[in-house]
Amino acid sequence: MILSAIAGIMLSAPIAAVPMAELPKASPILHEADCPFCRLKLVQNTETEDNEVVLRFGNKKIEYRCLFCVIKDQRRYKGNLVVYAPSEKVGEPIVLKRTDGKWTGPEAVRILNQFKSHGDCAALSRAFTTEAALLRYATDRKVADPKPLTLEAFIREVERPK
Amino acid sequence: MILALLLAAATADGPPELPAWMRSSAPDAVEFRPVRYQDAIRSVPAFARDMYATSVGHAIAYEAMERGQWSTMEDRTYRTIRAVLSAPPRFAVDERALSPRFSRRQSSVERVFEWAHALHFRTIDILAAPGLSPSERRRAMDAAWREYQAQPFALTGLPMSMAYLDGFPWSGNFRRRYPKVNALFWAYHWLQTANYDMLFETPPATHRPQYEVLGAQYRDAELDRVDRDFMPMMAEQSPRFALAYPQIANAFDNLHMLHDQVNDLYATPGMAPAARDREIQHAIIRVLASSHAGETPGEATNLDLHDHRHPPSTPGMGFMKGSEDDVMFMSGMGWMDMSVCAHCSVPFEPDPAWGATVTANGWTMRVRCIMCARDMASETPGRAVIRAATEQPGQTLVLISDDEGNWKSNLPGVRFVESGGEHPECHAWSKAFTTAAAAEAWRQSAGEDVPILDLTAWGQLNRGKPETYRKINRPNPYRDSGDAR
Amino acid sequence: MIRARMLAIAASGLATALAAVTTASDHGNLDKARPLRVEDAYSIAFNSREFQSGLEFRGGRSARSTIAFRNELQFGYARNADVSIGWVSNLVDSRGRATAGQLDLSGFWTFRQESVRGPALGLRVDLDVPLTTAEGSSSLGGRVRAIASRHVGRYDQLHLNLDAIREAGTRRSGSGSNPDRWAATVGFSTPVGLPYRFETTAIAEVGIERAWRGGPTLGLVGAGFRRQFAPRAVWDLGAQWVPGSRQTWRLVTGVSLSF
Repeated sequence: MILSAIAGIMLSAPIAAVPMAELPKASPILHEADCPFCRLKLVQNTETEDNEVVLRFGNKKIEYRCLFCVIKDQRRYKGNLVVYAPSEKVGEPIVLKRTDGKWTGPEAVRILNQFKSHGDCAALSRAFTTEAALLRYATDRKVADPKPLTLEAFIREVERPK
Repeated sequence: MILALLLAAATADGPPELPAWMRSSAPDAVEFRPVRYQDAIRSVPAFARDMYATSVGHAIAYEAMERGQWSTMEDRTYRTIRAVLSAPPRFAVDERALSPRFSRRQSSVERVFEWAHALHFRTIDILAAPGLSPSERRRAMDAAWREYQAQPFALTGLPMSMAYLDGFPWSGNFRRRYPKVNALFWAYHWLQTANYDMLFETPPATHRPQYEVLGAQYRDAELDRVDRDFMPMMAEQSPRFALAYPQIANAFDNLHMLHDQVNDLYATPGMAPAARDREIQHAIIRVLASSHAGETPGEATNLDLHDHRHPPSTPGMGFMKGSEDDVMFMSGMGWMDMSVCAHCSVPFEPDPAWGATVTANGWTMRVRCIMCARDMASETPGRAVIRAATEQPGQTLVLISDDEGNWKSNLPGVRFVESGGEHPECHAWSKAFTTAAAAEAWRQSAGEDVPILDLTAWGQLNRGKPETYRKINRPNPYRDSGDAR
Repeated sequence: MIRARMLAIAASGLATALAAVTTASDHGNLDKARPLRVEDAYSIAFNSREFQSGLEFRGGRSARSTIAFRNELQFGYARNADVSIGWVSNLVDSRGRATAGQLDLSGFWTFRQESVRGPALGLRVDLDVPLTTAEGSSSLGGRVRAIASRHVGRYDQLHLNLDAIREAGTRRSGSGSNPDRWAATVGFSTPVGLPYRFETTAIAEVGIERAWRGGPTLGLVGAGFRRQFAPRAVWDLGAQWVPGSRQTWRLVTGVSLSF
């Protein structure tokens, strides 16, 4: 409980001051509510897999179902954003930032975005630390013809008018 | 025709005897007795205009229903209403002038609606009036309720089984067939329910800034919201008010359910007008105060019309579909236990340590302490309002956040202590004080060596999800798919 | 001196009325003389109180112009019924003088609202008590009015008023009217701008009036409006033309306030 409380307080410090090492581990931090974008139930972390996509906006800490939902809903937020995206490594989320409207993240990050209905978005719109990790995940999940996207390509794809 | 007859036969409660006023063809226009705080609603001008516009919205839709304009309900009628809602009237509007044909045919239900709408406006005026002491406000509310009940077309203040009232063969027809216009009705009813906690025991100076948040939610979200499973309930949207005035809360829920029933009956294909009108008369009689004379809240002489059970912690709400004691399903929030904090799942302390409420994203939840309120608000996108107890019983703290969760307070000197401990005692170590001196005095008397926080420092804290939090996982009782939302 | 005092009363009455605009007159509910002769079949609401105040200008080529100041208090004492007491004073009568005028006592009952079976029906009974004997007879006057109202379009309404009238001794002494007569008026009212605007009702009327014992039949044509300008306040303005009468035109303006 105490550790959890400390982790929570640390999270609420200014975004720039949060070193990667102090990011919360896999413990669930939010209520089990609905995704603000797709309105489907949020998927909680498990012992073997992280699923919670957390968006930081000022003092707000809002959970989404997947990365696609975050990008689709991003215009709701007027300032800078930090997104903690679950990766293939439990307890080691990938940090993506939107600063002055421009998204940045680790160079090697690749994103899978191949769901057909939102019921599958939590599983099939995810970030990975490397392309190899993405392809391993896709093989495990039997994703046909996986397309690893850079962050830039992913955002372009999500925001492309349909 | 055969279908209509079958429906009528299936849904009739037996032919009830019409009360004298329903047999009369007099218009029976009634106003509440004049009081000095009449029209206090206008102290929040945008709220007043939005409330006036709800009358227009109701009336335009009912006139279209009576004229049988079903093919254009979801486009032309909808657009007309939206146009009015975006440029709401400056003054209260006579609904009968806008729906003359509906009023001619449905004069009884019109009388019920008008009188209950008058109760809305009167109670809002009382809560919004500046300069009334808490005891004066209480007396005025009690007097308004007595005056309301003195008319034969008053609705019952008993909790009614919503599962029963919404369980007829024709129930839900309107919301299924005309979801956009139904969303408008439910948005009006959201506005007419959510405002009460905005006004209840909060300083009048906070009403306008609070309505900036509520009004934006109403216009930008609620009017378009087609995913609600059930109409907004008073105890959902204004839990503190519903606790304080359960009869009034129940009467408004019964009013809004009568609206839904009238809509559903009109939207039932193949039902002959005469059969529909008979059913509407039955629907009125079901919720009239006179139909339940001598009955007691919390008791049920049967499990349908005279089921007045309520969640033990929430006397201002009848049993909902799937309800078990305090556990009920709320649209958008899922299953909730009304007797525990919405954030930490720990049972509430008895008044006067009432804790706080959080309003965000269209819902209002009771929580045990100011910390639970903040952390719950921080999980939710958009602006939020917290109303919280302070060390002074009559002084409510009202905090309003921007989109980023930066808070503004109605009390410039507000201070907080948040020493950290176990959630079952959170009300004892998470507190708000009107001044630094009051916080210091508490620290001295409690012997606690904890920092006293100003609003900025307190607002940046976040303790995340409490370990005590328990999610109730059950399927949505309103959806066949078993979706847990 | 008297006229100055009465003008002051008129001014202060209107000022009071305008100052009290915090308190709802329903612009769609047509009341007698506000601003035309025709009224609808609906009483004011139970428990509501209304104050009406206005000026009436009359004139014509063959008659001196007159100004009357009318004030009335209405009270909805029961469902579908109201009573009122009014005072009509002459600021300038046909002889150029200010006189006290008359008191009007009135009762109104609505028997039914418009339904699929028929129009709304109402009844008004007025008793007029002269306050001065300066212009001849000081006999009591009165009126019994039967009213029917019904919609004729989506929002438009027709109103039929049938009156049996006995004029009080001092009232309208310059009009040359006969003490005992009957009148029939058909009025038309329409809310302006529905369903997007809600503040104004336009009214028109045509009527005839004739003595029971014969004589000329006077026609009447009028038009006006009632406009809500505050939550509980309505301003009205109307004009009537009565060809064949000595005073051929009439202009009325005033306010109605609920309080």
